[in-house]
Amino acid sequence: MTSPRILAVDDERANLHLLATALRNEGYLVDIATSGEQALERAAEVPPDLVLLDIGLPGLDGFQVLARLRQTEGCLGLPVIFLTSMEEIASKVRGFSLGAVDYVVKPFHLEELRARVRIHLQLARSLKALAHEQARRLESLVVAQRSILARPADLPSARFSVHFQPAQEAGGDLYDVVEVGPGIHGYFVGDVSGHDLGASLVASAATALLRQNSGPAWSPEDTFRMINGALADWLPPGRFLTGCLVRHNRNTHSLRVVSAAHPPPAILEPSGRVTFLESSGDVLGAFAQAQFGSLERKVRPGDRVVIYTDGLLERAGRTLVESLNTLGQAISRLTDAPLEDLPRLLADSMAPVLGADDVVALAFEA
Amino acid sequence: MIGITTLEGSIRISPTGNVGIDETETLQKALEEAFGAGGGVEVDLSACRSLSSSAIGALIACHNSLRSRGTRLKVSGATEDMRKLLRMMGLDRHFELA
Repeated sequence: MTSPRILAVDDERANLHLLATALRNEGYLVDIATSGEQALERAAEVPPDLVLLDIGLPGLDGFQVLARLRQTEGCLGLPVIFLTSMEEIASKVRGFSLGAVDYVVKPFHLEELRARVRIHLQLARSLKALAHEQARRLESLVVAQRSILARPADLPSARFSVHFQPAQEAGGDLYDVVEVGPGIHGYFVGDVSGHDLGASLVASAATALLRQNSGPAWSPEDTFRMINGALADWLPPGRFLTGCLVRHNRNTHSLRVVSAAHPPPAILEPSGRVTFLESSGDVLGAFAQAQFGSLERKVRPGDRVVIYTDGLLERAGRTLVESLNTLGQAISRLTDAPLEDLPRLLADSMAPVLGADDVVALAFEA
Repeated sequence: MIGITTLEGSIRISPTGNVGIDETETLQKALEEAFGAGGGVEVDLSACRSLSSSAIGALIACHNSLRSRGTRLKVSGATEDMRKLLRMMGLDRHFELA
């Protein structure tokens, strides 16, 4: 087995050499960089297995470097540990929200850092193995998963309703609602590329993976990363799905939206105001490493969230901008509709186009 | 309709109009042959109005094959709406947009 490669980034050369030597003595391959730009160059040349990143750097700072790494192919899922003298909570929160796995304040003990590096390398490897293992067992999971559709009556605490209209028998649209914890639900809508028997198989696989990888210990981004890892292992080339996962926490009145290249969900306030919640991310299952952005916002009781598939958007207009406008207006007109009718009324309010795609519209109330 | 132009060191594929389910198979074959020729692959979208999800899948598959050779799929001539679509799908991070 080849040794893990660590990229250490710090503009203080004395620190950097101390750190590099300590890690090399442990058996790691160590690359070093003294600026943000240099770090990005090194990472693009030879993707490391882990990055130790200072925040206060000349030029691009550590936050900017991490943000750019998350856009660099081969570095999307890379564990990054901040190593910095900035100990304010705000900068820690910013680091973690950008996707850092750990945050170590200087001065630190080498022994502690070594332990953290070990843990995060093991964790990254275990996650990869877990995704691989799930891909291997997917066939049997799919069989068990088929024909299980979440029904509003079975999960009343989730307060949702759904309109599901497959265009063909072998559709590729899917939805699911899972209880993540008491008062916390995940609402998922997805769309598999293609319209053949394979598409419905992939839809079942995605649902099975969603259920396996949901829970309080998983952020919605983690859930998507696991689904992506397993599907990328399993799917034939050219097959992928888009999806949107909205986690609603009724204890804290907050939403977290993660999108895998999916049209943005809408939030409808009792006043009739409609806002689209846009966050960007890769498609699921096409790339071995993928990146998923997330968006968080507060909601008030009575607010409703509508998640839908491309099929509904296609009915709304020719261009993306035009479609979203039309859809937003249609949702706003349904402000007073009962929750259980909203998805169906929304789908019916837009004339189907010829050779139309499947349509899923799912709504839930905060 | 799909145009195929041989350039120096690469092959340019130009799908036109709406690339739906029926046209996707032709596109996929053209991409596979272009990849098989051993050089770069460029997809010219200047005359393309829409791409089905399967067509996008074919582009991604070709891109992933090219990645194993250390290059990427080049996409040129995308209209403003097509660029928006590629951005929404996060593909601008993967493909080389010209």
